[in-house]
Amino acid sequence: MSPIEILFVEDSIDDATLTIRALKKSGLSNTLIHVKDGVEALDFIYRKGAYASRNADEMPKLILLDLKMPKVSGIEVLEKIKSHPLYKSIPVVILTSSKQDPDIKRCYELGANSYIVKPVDSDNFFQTIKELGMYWMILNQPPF
Amino acid sequence: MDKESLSFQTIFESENKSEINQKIFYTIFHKSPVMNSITDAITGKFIDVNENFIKFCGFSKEETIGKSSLELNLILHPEHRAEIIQSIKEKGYSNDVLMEIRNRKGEIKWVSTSAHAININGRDCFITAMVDVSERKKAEEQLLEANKKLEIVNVELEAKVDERTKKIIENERRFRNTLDNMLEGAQLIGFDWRYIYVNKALEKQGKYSKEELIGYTMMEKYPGIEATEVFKSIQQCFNQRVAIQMETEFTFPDKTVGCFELKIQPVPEGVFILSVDITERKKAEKEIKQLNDSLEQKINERTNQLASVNKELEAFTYTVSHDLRAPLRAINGYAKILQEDYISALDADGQSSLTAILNNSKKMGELIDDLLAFSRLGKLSSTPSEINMTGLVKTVIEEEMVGITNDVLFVVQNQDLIPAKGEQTLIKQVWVNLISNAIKYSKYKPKAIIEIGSYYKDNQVTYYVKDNGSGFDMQYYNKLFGVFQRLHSQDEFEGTGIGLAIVQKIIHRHNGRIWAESVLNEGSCFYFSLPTINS
Repeated sequence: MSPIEILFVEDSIDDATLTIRALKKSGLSNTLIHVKDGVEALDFIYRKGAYASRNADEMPKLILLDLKMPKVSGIEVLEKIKSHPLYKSIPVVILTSSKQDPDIKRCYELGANSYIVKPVDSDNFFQTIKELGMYWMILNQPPF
Repeated sequence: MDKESLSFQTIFESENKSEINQKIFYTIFHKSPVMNSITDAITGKFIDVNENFIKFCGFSKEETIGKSSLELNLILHPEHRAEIIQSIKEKGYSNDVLMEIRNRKGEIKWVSTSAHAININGRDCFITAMVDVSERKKAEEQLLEANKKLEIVNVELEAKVDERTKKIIENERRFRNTLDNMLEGAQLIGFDWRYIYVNKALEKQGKYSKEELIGYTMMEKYPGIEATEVFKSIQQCFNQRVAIQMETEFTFPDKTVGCFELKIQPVPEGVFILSVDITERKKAEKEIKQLNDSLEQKINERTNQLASVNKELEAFTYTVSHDLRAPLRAINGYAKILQEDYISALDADGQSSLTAILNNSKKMGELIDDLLAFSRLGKLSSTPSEINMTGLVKTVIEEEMVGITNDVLFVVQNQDLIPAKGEQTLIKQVWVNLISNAIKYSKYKPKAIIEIGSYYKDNQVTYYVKDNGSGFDMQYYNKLFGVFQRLHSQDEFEGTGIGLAIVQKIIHRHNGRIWAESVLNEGSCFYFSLPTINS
């Protein structure tokens, strides 16, 4: 199994399907792992539950994080990531439904690196995802 | 005897006595300043008269001798003459009878007449002496007259004094009446704190009748008054003799409370107090204050309610933006998958249906975005600052012309636009919407001309954007600035119908005005006003 390059946190199956498809078309989906909520995301990061046996050395190069999720919200996940000694240096791109989301400001305060508004128009969305994924994956060299 | 008397004595003794007597008599009779006459006692005819008599009566001696006074018409009132004769008959003489004599010229004079019976050579005669007392009499009469006048003046004066007194009494009565019946309470308090006078209003205010108050002290009537503000003020007025004005609350012996406006004035008797009962007024003021307080409280409650409603609305729009967009995104996304990967499996009808789904979901997304942008306008607030309109409009034109392929000429009047005061980001949105509209609605013109200008009017700056585009029918003007109101079909001109509603909301937030003029197929002109930089 190739190393995980993108950790994708998204509770909406539809949004996940469309996003994964966009990334796939850009050739970025092979090394992607999709977790379906904040709890699962934290399990992955802290190697608990289903991910207890995960290889600790496997570090994603990019985290795509949806904000609005049940149980543990994106903000809480972000907080945990940014307080983790190793994970805090991984770039986090926030996925949000609206640019008027009051949480965006909070996300930047917590150390998010960028955000994408999920547009209704899928053309735009695909384009943005592709560009963003490429940018962070290819141009932005992670610090390790 | 003195020397002169002695010399007369000598003369008498030395000469013939009878001769001397005759000489003396003659001299005395004729040369005397007194008017002398001798008349026959029986006939009353003159026997002899002296020079003064002649002079006085105006008749010659010849005319007089042998005539009586009645014949000469000398006597004005014969009864005076009769009185003299009567006196002589009784006593042998008459002294100082005042009578009036008419002389030859008809002048009437007062004389004092004395007469004596005398026997001359066996003939009974009267010897009469008259003294002219006219001047004296005149003086007397004048005195009398003066006295009379004085009397009249006196009477008049007395009448006047009476009248004045009456008036004074009347005035006092009237004053007393006014004082008694006026609306203000009036009381006169002596230095011993006793009531000297109270009027009717005070009886009502003080809750005691006149009879219950007069003669009693304030302390007797209102026990505990010594501790009040009023008492201290009256005392101050007693001592310092200064007028004091005050508003006070007074508790009566029956525990009721009244509010009074008092004017305490020093008077010789002590103090005079005018009082107005302002209990009702105070009560009304209190009620108004309470009403105001409760109103304010209500306003606060309402404001809070409004704030919470606003919050709810915010939460609602947020929810709308998230929850409505998610399924829409899915519809659009899956339709896109069909279009990209499975288009060959659909016939022409299916393909156009798929396109319709894509277009509609995209459109709905735009509607939601616009609605959110519109609701967000109420929240934004930064401090207004001076805006360089020329620069701002230049930027907007450049941005809006990106991707525009038709021929558009922008004309900015006088090169420069007047600066104004406002929130830059919002005002930019206004220009964006108006300029993009002007471009959009001119797209079918072979040569679009868009004119932009500004001018001062009514202490504001008015800006306008004028195009020669399709224009609109003025009969639908009332719908122009409404949310999601459109005057053109989607096929003609794309748009959600929120742009002008946003523009209007922004301009109203700046206390400006927005309006438009248009002729269908000839073009429109949109105007808006903003505060000047000095306001």
